[in-house]
Amino acid sequence: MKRGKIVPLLLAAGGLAIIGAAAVKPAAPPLDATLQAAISASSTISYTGIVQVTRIGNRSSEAAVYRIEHRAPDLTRRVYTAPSSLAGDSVVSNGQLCFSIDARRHRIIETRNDAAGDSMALNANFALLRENYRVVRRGEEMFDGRRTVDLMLVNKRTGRTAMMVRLDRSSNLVLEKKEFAPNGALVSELRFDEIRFTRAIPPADFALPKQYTLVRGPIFGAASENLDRVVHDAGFGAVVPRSLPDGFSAVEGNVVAFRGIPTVHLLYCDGIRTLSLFENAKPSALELAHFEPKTLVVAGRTAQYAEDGATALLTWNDGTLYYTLVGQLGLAELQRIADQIRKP
Amino acid sequence: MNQTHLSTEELADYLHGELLAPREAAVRAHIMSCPICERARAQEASLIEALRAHARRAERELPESVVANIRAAVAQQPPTFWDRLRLALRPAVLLPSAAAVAVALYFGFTAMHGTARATTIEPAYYIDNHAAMTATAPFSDEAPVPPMLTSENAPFADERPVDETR
Repeated sequence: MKRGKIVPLLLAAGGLAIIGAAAVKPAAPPLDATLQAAISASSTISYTGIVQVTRIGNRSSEAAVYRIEHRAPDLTRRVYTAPSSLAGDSVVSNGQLCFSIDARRHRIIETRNDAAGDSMALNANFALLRENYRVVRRGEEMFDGRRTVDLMLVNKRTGRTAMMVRLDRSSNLVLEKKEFAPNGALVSELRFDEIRFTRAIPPADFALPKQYTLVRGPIFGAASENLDRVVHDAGFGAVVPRSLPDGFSAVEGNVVAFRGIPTVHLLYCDGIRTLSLFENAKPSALELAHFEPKTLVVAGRTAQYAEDGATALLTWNDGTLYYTLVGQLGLAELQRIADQIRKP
Repeated sequence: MNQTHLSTEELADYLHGELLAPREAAVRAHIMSCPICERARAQEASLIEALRAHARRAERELPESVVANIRAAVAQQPPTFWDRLRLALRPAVLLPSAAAVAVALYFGFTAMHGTARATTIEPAYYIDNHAAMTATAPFSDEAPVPPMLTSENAPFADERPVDETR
């Protein structure tokens, strides 16, 4: 073959190789990048504003309005203006530490959440979100004078929208968020108004009042992705379903003690919604009378269902293990999930 | 007057007060009128007193070591069935035993019927731990009303769950 013909062929082959390589390893979908940027936005951006948040339950709902001041990566102060029972109260969080400043009782309750900021769990949860939900770009809008990008997260199993997020186009910060139940009902809403981006937040804004009493609150322990170890540490034969209906997968867990009873806590997530499964091996019962519980049958056993605001609880036992499911899910979903939790 | 003298046996009975009243009176009258029998009575009385005195002298306390050995030997004797029964039924043992049996019967019954007393746990323990662990879920929010600030009905912080695995 003559050299004059070889060169064009090589160029063509090289071009095809480049095109092929591009086909094998495509650039990350821009919606994924946008979604990831939105989830981690507050770790890099400082801001102030007014937040309204509502959670709607069947029996009762919760709503609050607070002014937020956030300095990246993890220093935040929320000052409540509503409901009236919280007016004047505030919460200062600094990474895993949280200080709830109770103006009425002149006390500060310190709590610690070692599970916060767990990057492995964050990544696992994001992978589940992409596994179970399709991201749909709805368009661009104006919100409180700012250009936004609106994304819908659609459940791949049901085809229903589970969440709508309206992101600030320049910062990817969530300015509005709506979460929907599988039947389409609105279950929670967050709205961010009067947002200002600034790092010029005086340190004094995050200071704790000196004249208040500091009270040691609960410490929520770190969670582990090694669920076998979690169960082993509990010292009794807990049941560990790796996956549950509707795309829920076990993400992490730990062992806690409620009234001295060792209890395994497993967190399941489908990427957006979360569900906790608690198990212990000693006779125990939830004090649900205040919530007017319903009695029903789960896995052939008598169970009790109750709602605390938008949070639902379902509890039952099989004679040896005592189970409780907690999450922002409806009764039908909890019941279907509970039916799958059985001893091997 | 009867010249027959009293026998030694009858004198001994007289001195021990073992004669019937009519005979005792006749013997006493004879001794008062018969110097020989009076002498015999005196000798017999003296002999009796000598024997009593000797017996009193021979009557001694047992040494403590001997008493201890005897008690130890008695203690090593296996108790009879009746001894054991009497020991078991004394009140100091019987009352606590009866109470223990009653408690065992109660718990045994309730356990068999699945109604053992259960520890009551407030839902806040579950809800708070659930909320804490969901901090890593995408787009998760804090509860609108922070549980620590629910001024009217929040439990005190030290009543909340504390992780024991740390």
